[in-house]
Amino acid sequence: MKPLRRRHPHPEIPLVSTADVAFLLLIFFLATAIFSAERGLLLSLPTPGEAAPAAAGPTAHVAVAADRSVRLDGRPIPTRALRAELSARMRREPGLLVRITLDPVTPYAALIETLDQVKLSGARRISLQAEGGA
Amino acid sequence: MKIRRRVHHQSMIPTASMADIAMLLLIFFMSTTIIRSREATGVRLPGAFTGEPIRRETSIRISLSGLGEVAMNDAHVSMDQVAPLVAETLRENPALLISLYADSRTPYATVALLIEQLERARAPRVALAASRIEMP
Repeated sequence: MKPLRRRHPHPEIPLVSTADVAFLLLIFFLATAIFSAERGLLLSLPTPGEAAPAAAGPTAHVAVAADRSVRLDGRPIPTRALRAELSARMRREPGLLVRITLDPVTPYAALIETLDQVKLSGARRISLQAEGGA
Repeated sequence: MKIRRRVHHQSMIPTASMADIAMLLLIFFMSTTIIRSREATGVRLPGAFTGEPIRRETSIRISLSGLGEVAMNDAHVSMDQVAPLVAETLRENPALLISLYADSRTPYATVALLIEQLERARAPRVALAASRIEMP
């Protein structure tokens, strides 16, 4: 009897659909990718025990009330007008210290809005404190 | 005169390398995508015109909800735990930036308490996170 020679089929992984799978995954990642639009207003915190910036020299006092109304040196002013007002003062008094005080119940959005306007004015010396507190 | 027979070339776009390109793009997107885990606290950020981009890889993310719930890197913590946890993380990597994601409705007093905790942890730099608003 003639022994039958066993034929070994060449094993291989079918790769025909790899490109399709790659394209599907690519479309998924393209559709779900979110490019972050988050920004951060940078603050340099004092170390414990460090004194607050000296109020010597020109100072502008920005007070934000609980109802989000803003006063600049005691005078009511729309938040969006802070930038122009402070820019003009910065030109007259370089090195102006902007002291922002907030009512403890003021919403955080009001702080960001005010701080944003102050930063837009070009002020670099900013002090932040709660009304009647540190 | 012998009239030359016009040869019609079959025009086709070579697509052989398309799969390779797809694979390369796929690898790019897979390696750059950050799968955002569900926020530990529901936070609605306020908007701002200014600000520096926040890089997640080089920052400690602290969230503060409108109800005063605090989360550090999406894990709930109490207000008193913030200072020791941040101090410990900063000891390992002092270059980290603290990014504070506070809800726009949170009272300033609560935010001030959290900033006080960060001061106690000797965190030198804090970024108050906000969504970017385009200049009008």
